[in-house]
Amino acid sequence: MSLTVNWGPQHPSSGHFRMVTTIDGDRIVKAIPKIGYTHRGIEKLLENRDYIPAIPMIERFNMTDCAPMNMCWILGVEDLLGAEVPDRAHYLRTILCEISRIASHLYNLALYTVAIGMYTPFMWAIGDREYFLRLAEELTGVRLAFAYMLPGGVRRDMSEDLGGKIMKTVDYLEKRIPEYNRFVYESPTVEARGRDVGVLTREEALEMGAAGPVLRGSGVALDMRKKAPYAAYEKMDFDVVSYPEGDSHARMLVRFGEMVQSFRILRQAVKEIPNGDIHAVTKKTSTIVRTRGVPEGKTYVRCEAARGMIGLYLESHGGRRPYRAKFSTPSFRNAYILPKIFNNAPVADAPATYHSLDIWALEMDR
Amino acid sequence: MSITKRVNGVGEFIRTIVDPVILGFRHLFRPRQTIRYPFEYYEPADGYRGRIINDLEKCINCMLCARICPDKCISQKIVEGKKWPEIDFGRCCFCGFCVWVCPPDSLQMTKDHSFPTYNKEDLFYEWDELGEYPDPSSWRVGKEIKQKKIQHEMVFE
Ligand code: SF4
Ligand code: SF4
Repeated sequence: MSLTVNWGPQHPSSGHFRMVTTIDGDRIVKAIPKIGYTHRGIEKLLENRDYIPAIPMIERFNMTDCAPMNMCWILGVEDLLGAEVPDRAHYLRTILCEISRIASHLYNLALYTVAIGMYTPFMWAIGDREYFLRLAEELTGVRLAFAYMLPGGVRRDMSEDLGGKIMKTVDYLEKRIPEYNRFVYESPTVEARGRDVGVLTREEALEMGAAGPVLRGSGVALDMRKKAPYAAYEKMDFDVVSYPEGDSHARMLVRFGEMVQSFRILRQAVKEIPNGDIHAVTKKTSTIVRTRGVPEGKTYVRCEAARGMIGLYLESHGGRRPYRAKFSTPSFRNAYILPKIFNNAPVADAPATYHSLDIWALEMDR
Repeated sequence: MSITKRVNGVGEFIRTIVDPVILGFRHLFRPRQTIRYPFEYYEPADGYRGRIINDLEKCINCMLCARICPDKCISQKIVEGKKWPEIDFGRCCFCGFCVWVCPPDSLQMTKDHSFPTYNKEDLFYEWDELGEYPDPSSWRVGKEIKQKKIQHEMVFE
């Protein structure tokens, strides 16, 4: 006899997200994600906001990884404006995006390990994430919700000693990698929980439109930072990490590999950052946006957030407010995969599989 | 897949149990990563976006700050024919746009991040209340902890 059970919306391991599951014995036979519990209508609200005051709201898509959300919006606005951005601002944006990515991946590692019942890596990851939030605080002034990038540049320059601090933090975390490897990524216990669980093959991933580490965990090496470089990614030397297995463990390994690549990017960015302005002409572009708005036009831009590609369709009919802003967020696309990988999965694996997809419910609903 | 298929022999199986214990023991001698908050504090970074103050001598009463505020938490008060900003911190998201846009830099952000009140109305700072620099002792409770003391290997200070 099967039983229909609500998983969420306030379940400790689902976030603000509800899934109607039909359970037979200890197997999930059917899972239907119900999207929209935290729908805030941000896209509609954006139509009623000026371009710059919209930034804090866009960051609320995803607080653990807010720099790429800001980045995407700014790319769209700059595209419509045809604005010039100085090199130094590009580098600072890159640095912040990578700090945000590392922090987000560490947070996901914490959630995943706690879902499989390991509390020590949870503490480690949350503790180490704190150093990156501190770096973000030194750069932008706050730990989360940076609102740091503006059309035409960034809001403040980095202090002289911040470069050294970033290097030290990266050194420190690189020293921790063997520990993480030994007790999480190469541990037989963790592997036993993640190998051959929630398998998503390459074809399925492509067909269902998976994004980010989920796609790369299924063997498709697609990364917007390489494919359509923005900010200073063109000048950075890094690899796109991908694993062919397509199971939960492969997705975690992809995130881990990405963190290591992010360390490389941070090192290069800090070393090579050019001197100069952080704003094309001090505050000028932003002033134009603030007072005259953005010229008429349509654009589609995309950038790579920690959870995958985020796309923005922005249409302006002139004036200080957008006519339409449509975001395509990675968590939304990854949520479609849930029915597939929960098909006939044991109930005990469900939380770990869910967290291996790294779905952020607020980003999904918007 | 069961765990026994993943380890090669008894030796490695025992290591998977013993290693974490050894590591846990090593971690005992590392400095802790947390602070005991009400008794210790940790100075926020320079340029921290905390409570906002307004230098009443510099303010030119232009109200640009109220226009850019995304949360509409800055209202204006007219005193002797001049417009002054007033901030409802209950709604403020500390984005700092008002400070960034202020032409004479009269709005400033301080390191004050803890100003709890018993009711919501007290979070509304009137125009002259914004002129007072917060008392550093409001966020400096207990003794200061340097980053060095709470983390190992890496030295921030
Ligand atoms: S923007 Fe600055 S100068 Fe203008 S009213 Fe606000 S605080 Fe005063
Ligand atoms: S910090 Fe942001 S939300 Fe707060 S008063 Fe200034 S503009 Fe408004």
